[in-house]
Amino acid sequence: MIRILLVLCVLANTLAVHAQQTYAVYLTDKQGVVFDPYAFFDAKAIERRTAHHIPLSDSTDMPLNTAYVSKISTLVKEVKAESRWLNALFVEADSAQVSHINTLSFVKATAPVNPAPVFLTRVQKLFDDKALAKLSQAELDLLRYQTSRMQASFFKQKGIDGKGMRIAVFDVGFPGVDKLPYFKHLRDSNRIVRTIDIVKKNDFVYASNSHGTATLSCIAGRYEDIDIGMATGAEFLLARTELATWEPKSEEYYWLAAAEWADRFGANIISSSLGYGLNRYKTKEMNGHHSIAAYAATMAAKKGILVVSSAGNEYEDHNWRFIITPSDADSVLCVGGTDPYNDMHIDFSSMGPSSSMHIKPNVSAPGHVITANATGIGENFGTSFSCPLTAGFAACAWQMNRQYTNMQLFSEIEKSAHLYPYFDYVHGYGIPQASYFTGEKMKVDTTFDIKGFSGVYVIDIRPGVGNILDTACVEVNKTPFEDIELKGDFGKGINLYYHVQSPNGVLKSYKVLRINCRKNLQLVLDEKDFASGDKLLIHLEGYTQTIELK
Amino acid sequence: MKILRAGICLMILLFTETAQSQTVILERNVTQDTTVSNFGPNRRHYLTVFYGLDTYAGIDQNGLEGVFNSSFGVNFGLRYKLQYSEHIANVFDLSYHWQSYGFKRKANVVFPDSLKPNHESFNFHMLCLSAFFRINYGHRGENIGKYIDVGASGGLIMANSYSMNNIDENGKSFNKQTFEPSYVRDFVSFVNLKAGFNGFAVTAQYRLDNFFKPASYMPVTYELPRLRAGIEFSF
Repeated sequence: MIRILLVLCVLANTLAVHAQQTYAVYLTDKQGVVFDPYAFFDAKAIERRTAHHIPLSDSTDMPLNTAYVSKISTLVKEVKAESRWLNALFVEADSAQVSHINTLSFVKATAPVNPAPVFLTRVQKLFDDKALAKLSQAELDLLRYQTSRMQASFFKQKGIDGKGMRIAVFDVGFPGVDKLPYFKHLRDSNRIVRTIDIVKKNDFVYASNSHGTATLSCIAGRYEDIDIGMATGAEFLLARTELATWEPKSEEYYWLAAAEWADRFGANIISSSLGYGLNRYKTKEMNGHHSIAAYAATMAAKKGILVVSSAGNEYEDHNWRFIITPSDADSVLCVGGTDPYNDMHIDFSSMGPSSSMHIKPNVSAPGHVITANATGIGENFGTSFSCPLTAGFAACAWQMNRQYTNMQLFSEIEKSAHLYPYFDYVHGYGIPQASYFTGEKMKVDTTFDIKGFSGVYVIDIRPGVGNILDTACVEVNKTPFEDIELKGDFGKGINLYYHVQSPNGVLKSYKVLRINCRKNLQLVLDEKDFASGDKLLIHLEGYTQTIELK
Repeated sequence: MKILRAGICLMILLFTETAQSQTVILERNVTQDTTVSNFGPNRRHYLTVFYGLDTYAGIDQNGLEGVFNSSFGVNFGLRYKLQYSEHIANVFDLSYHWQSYGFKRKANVVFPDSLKPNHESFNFHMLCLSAFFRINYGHRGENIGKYIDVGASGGLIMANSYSMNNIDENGKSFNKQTFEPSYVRDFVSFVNLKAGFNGFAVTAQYRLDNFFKPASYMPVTYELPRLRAGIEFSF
């Protein structure tokens, strides 16, 4: 009997709302706060704001009123984090303490932050910490592919490596970054400028899960003489914002605190391979306005930072057909994953759009890569790595075009992608291409001719386009990806992408065909799938044609 | 327009070679993708399977004392949830329950017989229908989340047995089993309480009815413990 009661008590305790929990305490004002942006901000932050005509200080930049903070800190168990942007504190308190706080005249509101430990992130579930000392030839090919697919050589030939750009990486920990040879060039030139563990409130980040080590390597790691990521010359701010095993909602507040920290210390780019979805939110809430993470990312973008975020790995969950947050925010550059062995959407990468029907993901990058880990180097899967590859690309693109604002760069990265202006909700605009920024993008001639109307079309592919049979389309291509190898050779056949877009820019459908013949390719749209005024966009080998549907 | 489209399609079929070589490698209908289904852990309808383990929870009834180590139960079944709002739902279970009760008789108890065995137990196999009123609380995204269920069940006893172990006159141990004893009822009802978080719950069940029918030869009606507690997992 006693044993049962003990078990029940323990279990009931795990289910019950804990007496101590995290609360957000929103303050009414910042009256009396003296603020000198030159003393508060890092010189890089001042430079970023000045360059893009962002005010050096508005009310959201000012720190919290210290008298308010001290008063509240005496009433609670612990102040976990502060937010300048929200003018709020995150505190560990019990309900009696919160009741007391609510009586204070300078407290606008309090709100509980869900304390329940939920699940491992999918991002981390896919993550493989297997480390190798040496890479095989196939792994070396994969390593070279992950940057060459984004045309890294175009940047490299011009000496562009992200120099002068400061990238903040948010993750769960960066073990080994202080020791591994893949980051030696960063350590030797003191380019890990600052670190912060927001969870433990100290500045040691080289512990916990090595997911952060892997993501950082995809921005700036180097294996022997091969770059793992493209921005090997950039500076870094490393922030731990995640718990290793559980996903309490307070992580989003840590993300917010890290974004404010990154803003203060002059980040140009935030790379965050972290996302929050079905364990916390309903699909309709993925609208870019609901979550704290989306708010934080939007604020960071307003401060001139390019926020790059992974799409997530939710594709196989049929109950979740929207992007996760903070990628749902429209000013976040959301990156989906591609399969290096067929150049298509990789089978786990989350699909968009956002629930407000904004295009998500915005672009894509390889989601099967080689990364550094805590003790070595190895193969890894996840949009967690598509994101930092793109962040590294963005650093190089921005180094070449310092006049761009963050949102101009966002737009140019979309335009540089290999499918642009075609887009869909799994590839976005495709994989960003460096030649667009270096001015070496090849002019693409017309690749196909199209006849027909009213949703029924016949396409003839022009001679010389693609590795396809020079015949009419008579055979069924059942195994489109046979004999595929890396290095851009995806076997016989080319991909034809098309989508139907309504006048408000929202897609109605999209399709990718693998074709291996040249003439008389039928494209018949179902009558119920389009309306007069919709647009049909067809993309083949860099050339896009738009047809107004009637 | 329809005739025109049909004409074009016909012309293509008649005057061009059939275009079969395209293989669809990706196809998405955005309307279908973005229409949120009403089926799911935190949506209007949800169906899961579950299994649970439970045991005697220590409160004895008249005459028979439960024995913790030999009283256990297993149940499994199908669960349908009908959700009315973020916080309110009804849950209906169809399940099989096997409940075992090891017990000791108090002094002078002559039920189920006049012997004084070393060990004895009753086993019941039941088909149960249950209905619960569920209150959900806390943020839970698309998960089942935290909940408290209050409900009632009816169990049809499909099979039952009485087992005992005793020592014969020669000092030798022997087992005896009686199937379908006549004094066991066919139907019992329960009230249930659960506290759960996603696929896990702590359960308590209180039996409202006696397992045993009253009999003229018994001065009082003896009964097995009514309260059971356990855990449950759903998928």
